[in-house]
Amino acid sequence: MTRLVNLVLSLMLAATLVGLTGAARAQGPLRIEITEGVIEPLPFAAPAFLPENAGAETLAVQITQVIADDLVGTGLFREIPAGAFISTVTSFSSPVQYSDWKAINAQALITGAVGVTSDGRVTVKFRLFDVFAENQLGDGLQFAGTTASWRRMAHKVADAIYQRITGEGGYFDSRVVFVSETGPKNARRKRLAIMDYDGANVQFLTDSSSIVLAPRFSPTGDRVLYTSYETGFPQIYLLDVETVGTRSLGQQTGTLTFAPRFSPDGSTVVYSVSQGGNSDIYRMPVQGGPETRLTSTPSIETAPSFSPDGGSIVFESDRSGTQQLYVMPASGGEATRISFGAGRYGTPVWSPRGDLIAFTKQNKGRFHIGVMRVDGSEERLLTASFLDEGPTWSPNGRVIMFTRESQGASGAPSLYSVDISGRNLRRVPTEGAASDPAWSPLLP
Amino acid sequence: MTRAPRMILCIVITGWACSAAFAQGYRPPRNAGLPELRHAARPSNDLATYWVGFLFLNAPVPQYLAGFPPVIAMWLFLGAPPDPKVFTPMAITPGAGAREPDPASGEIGQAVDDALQGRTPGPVPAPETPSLTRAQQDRLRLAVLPCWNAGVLDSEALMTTVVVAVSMHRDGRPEPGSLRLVGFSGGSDAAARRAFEAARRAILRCGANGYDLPIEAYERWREIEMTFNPESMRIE
Repeated sequence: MTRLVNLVLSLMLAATLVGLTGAARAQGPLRIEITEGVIEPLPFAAPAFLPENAGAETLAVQITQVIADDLVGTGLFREIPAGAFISTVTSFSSPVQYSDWKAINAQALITGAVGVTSDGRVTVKFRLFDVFAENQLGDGLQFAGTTASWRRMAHKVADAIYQRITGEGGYFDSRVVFVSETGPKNARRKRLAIMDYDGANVQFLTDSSSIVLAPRFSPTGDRVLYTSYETGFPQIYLLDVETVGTRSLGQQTGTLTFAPRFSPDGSTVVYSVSQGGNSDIYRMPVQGGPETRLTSTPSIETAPSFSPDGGSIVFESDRSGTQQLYVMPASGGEATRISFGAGRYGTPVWSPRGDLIAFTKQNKGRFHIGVMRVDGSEERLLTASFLDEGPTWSPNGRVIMFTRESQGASGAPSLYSVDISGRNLRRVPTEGAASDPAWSPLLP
Repeated sequence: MTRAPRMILCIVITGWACSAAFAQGYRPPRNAGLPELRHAARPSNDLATYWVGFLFLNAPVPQYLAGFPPVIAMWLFLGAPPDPKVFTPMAITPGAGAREPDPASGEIGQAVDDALQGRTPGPVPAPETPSLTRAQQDRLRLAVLPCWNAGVLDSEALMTTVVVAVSMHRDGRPEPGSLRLVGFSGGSDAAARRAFEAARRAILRCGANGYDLPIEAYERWREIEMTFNPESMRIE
């Protein structure tokens, strides 16, 4: 009888368990849907990288600061000040005290070390941690270079961190060529200049003896096309960034050529030619050769820009009576109008991702930088001011840099950047006035 | 094997066996000795009621072993005393001085009556797991929301809806090691991974001190699947 009672009690307990778990299991997990969140900078901690020897102390601090500045500059990240840190990183390989970083809400943690060898070589290594998941994001990485290229190494570390967190390629190890302007508004002297994307390491590529306009990088970033009035009328030139040597592309004397841009493979240049008050679009091999006329209308066609696959060209034209954007095959042919909003559209530039076209829009006395799908849909205006113009894409297609000119007799152009969401409008630091920026691809 | 571990083992195996039996739509076999009980209770209680009724009727061992599926027979085997002399039909045959159970009277009879009338004695019925009210679910949703930061997601990840499963502690804290991606739509594997990482950060960050969930309904929220749909977060 005792055994029977035991058995019965066991059965009752088991049945209760079955009832409980079975009921919950029958319903499955609790399911909820979250359709709203927040869009805010992700807080990260970047303790100063550890110097691996005495000569690396200053460089370690500088490199850490550039990395942090790069990330903060995107508007997607927020640096937690060192004063808030609870933990101290004393060794590159020591385990992370996640609870200390969680306590200050650091969602990402960057640790690193810098070494300098006696022959002037610098090594930078880093690790990235997802603090709340308590794991490392990707493997540790190490970069090596010369002491002179320490900023590039910092940019490369920041690119890697950016890529690991956002999934997009970075854009920090890149350069911008632009027109540096000096002098009064009615007698500006213009020179081509090149700098890091963040305004550091400015170098001048031309003198100010002639007016220069609209520089454009080659797809590999080693050459620049630009328009110069060196001969008294606009002509296209090709400049080697390394040697700073220039040569004319060899257009016919007497024609006005301008608005050049490389094809994605770098072999062809597309540009505008103005004759008798009419402008059309042409293309020719960069190494020289016959021109091919792509448009033949009695209107002004200019500002051509290739699609990333090289199959199409977007350009501006007033063939409809007002300045609008059109897309045509890269070999010429019938063009399709893609802009239909109020106002005038110009200077279209195809995104390196291929999904958007950036443009300048003028409407009701205001200028805007905007983007639209390649079929003209989903137009979004990102900026508005007295004069915004000339967009250029970051290598990852996430940021647009452009020229903003202030109003009045003392007004001067400056470079600005904005995220394609319309957020994070920032002035790019330059010494003096600057205009016509063109963003390079990521450096090798 | 001593009695206590055997008891625990038999409970575990029984729980598993019954779940499997229910999942397969198990019904007691027609010739198991209690055909009338097959109609006495709701389907979800059939098996438990059947066991109780059977045991209270004190049927001989060979009969009930023959009538049960193998897993149940195994349970009965494991639940039996270790002494092989006891595990015989003779052992459960009342001996001299033992009270002969009367199916029609006393506690056993009451159990049978209960079973016949759709009532089940003691803890046998599966208690209803308390559910979460709409307001409680909304509160959980609102608690996660401030930590779901789509600001660092690229455009493809912003097109990707991910379903994240998480096991919860009784104090409302998510178990960090339990978070896993159980499904996604609208993007590549890489985009889903990034979207999952953002969702995981959200669940862990905002749940660091425990979500406000009713402990009496723990069984209902012990396992949660959260769908993160970024449709409204995309760049317009």
